[in-house]
Amino acid sequence: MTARVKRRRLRVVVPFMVLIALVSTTLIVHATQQPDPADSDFLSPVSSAGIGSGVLAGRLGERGVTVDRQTGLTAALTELWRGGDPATLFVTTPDLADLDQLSRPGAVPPLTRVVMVAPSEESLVTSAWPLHVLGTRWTTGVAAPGCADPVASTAGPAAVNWRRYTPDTGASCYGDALLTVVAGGVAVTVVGSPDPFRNDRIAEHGNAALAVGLLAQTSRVVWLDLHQREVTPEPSPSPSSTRPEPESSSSAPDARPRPTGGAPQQTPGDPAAPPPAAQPDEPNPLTEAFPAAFWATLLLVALALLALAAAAARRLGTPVAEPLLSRVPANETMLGHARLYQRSRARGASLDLLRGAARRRLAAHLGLPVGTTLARIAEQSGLEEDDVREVLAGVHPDNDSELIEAALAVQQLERDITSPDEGVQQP
Amino acid sequence: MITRRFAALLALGVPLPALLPAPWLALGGVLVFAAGLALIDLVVAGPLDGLRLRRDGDRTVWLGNPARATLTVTNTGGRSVRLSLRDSWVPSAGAGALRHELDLPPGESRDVTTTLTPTRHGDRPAVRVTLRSLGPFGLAYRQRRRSWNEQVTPAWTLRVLPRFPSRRILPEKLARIRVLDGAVVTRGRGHGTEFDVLREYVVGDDVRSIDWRASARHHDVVVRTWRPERDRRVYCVLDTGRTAAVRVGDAPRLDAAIDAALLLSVLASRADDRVDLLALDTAVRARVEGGGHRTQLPRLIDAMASLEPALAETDFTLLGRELLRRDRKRSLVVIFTALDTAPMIEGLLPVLPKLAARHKIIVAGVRDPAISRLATLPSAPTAADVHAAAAAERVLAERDRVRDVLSHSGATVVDTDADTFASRVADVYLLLKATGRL
Repeated sequence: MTARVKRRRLRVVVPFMVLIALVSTTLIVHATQQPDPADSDFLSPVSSAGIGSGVLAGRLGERGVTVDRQTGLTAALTELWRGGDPATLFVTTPDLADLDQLSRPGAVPPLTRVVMVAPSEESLVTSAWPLHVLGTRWTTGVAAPGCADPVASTAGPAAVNWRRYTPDTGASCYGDALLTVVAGGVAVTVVGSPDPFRNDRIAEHGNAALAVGLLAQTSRVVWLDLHQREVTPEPSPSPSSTRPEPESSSSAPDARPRPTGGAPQQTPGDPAAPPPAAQPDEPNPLTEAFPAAFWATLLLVALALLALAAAAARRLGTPVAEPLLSRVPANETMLGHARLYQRSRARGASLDLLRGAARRRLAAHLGLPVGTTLARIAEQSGLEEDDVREVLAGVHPDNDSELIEAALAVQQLERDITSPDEGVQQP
Repeated sequence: MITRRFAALLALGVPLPALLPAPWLALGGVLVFAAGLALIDLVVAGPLDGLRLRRDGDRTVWLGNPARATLTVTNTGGRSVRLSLRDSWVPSAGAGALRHELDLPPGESRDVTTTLTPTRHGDRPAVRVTLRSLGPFGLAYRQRRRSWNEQVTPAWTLRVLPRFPSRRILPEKLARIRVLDGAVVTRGRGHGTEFDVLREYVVGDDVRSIDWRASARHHDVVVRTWRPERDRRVYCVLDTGRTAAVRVGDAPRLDAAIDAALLLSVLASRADDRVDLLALDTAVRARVEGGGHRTQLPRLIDAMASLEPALAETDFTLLGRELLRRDRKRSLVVIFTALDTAPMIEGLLPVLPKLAARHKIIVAGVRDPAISRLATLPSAPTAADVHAAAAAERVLAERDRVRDVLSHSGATVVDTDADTFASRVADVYLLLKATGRL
């Protein structure tokens, strides 16, 4: 019985298992195929790996664009301020960079272009730019430019359609996958996919033209090649007052003053953060939160419940135990046998038992010796031998209905012979 | 100890800390007030040491009938006691209303009656009377530990005699004994092989019983009358092993055996035979031998009452040792057991030939009526019914085989359903008695 149930359960479970295996395999493969921004090769100008951008850096060099690789945001900003002419800041891993610091007004020189590769919504909300992710596709798709932007229209269809961005400024290309907003004199461009910049994909479609076109608009590219999250110092409450904004815009001073200006103020503030626990004289805020009457009532209720529990715990005499009689019915073994026969579908064996018992009883009833032949039984009872033989020694049943039929036939034959009123007329 | 009323008193004080200006003081006030009252209660409550308990009531009862046990509580102390007591019996004693409340002024007694409707035969003891003396406010009470309560509890045991449903067929069987005795004139005289008296011939007497020598002395035709043998020995052997523990219908198989043994004992003692009893499984559990005719029967019933089936295989060699003693006279040995294959073939069969050589052996097995019922197919059977019928036929065939084997070894086998079992055993005894084969 349980084997059949198990098989039936398998029939339900197996398709789902296959489906789950298929889906999870797909998800795992997809996840492994996605390039990891923490990989040091990822969109690095000095990497020739498949996910690197050595080819792009080379092509920019051919176009006469200086590529300045920086591995930290502060250093990159310093580098931006140092050069006099407008430059392009290429942020390959915006999810690891501190966009809050980057998007602060005055963080980068005016007329700087910032190009970010597929920033996620989580990192965009930390920035001050009015950019949001509209949606993300399963894989990168090829899209037509569909806009008047000269770079995009020159490049033609490119594989950038992975993340789509909003707001739609009218200048969005490739179905919202390439978007430029201007905030505080800085043109921020988001590219929906890292594919156009990768060594292994740059040759496809118009990828190369798009990547080069985006970065070659200025003569200098500061390439932020960042592969681990930067631990940036917490901004002090009033960093703007100490920030050397005015003089930094004019020339290229050492961009250190900002951190040094913040440091003296932060040093006393940092140890001041954990102290509440360190002051024992302070009253517990929880006790302060409720009036004393509340606590007194609560204590009284607790004591009343405790008294109730104590009163209920003391019994007027413990329960009395005594050994019980056996509950096993006398026919348990017999019923167990019956269930075993049924379980193993021993129809033949069951029917043989019934037939054997009927033969013994008929022989005794007809006054014949034990183990007499069917022919003698038939002769003595006046029935056709073939009929008796079919009932008492017929073929074994193949299914339950045949078994029931055969068992009823045996019982009916026995009744016919043993009770003369209903039985067959003796010749 | 405190009562629930103490907790209620505390609960009544719950609004006070919120209403009064000084909440912690109010809390302390409520606690001191309640604790003070409880302490007064505890001090004023009557002492438990002055209470004396005595029990009276039924000592024996037939299973199925109610019994009463009275507990008398006397206050010998100098103070009044507000008493709450619980009279605990074992669960199978079926005691009703365990808890009682009493007010006992000094020097007075009160009776507490417990009605018992036992659910099993055997000894049903009163386990413990737990006493609790409450104070006047009912906030606190005095109660001693369990061992003290058990110490003051008067010992009492109700002996529940086994169910004897065959009582209703007893008059019929006794009538047949009287016919055998010849006490009732049915068709002339009594049967039997033992010479009784000589009397004058009346028309209708069997001419073969005319005593010609006595007729010559009396100058009249005199006939001998016969009576059944007396002072034969009937030995009831009850198997209390594992096969007696299983349930036939709603009661253990042993109950059916005890019922049949009781009927047989009553009949045999009325027919002036001596009845002995032996109950055994791995050891001898009960033995009743000797004693006069009149005192024997109550002792038998008493011994049977305390029998309980054990979950162990019966050791029939013990039986052989008992019955083959040199001083043992020839008896009718009735072994009440179950005709299961293994215990019969491996246990009883090896000792049976020796027993049968010295005694007349009857092996009486209680059959489960469910087996015969299941062996017959219902009007609209399912496959499960057919398989059950086959299994039942298999059990019946095995039982027939056991019966044949036992018969070959010289035993008379009685194998009947539980409802007619006692009657059949009595019939076999009466038949043997009538034919003088005891």
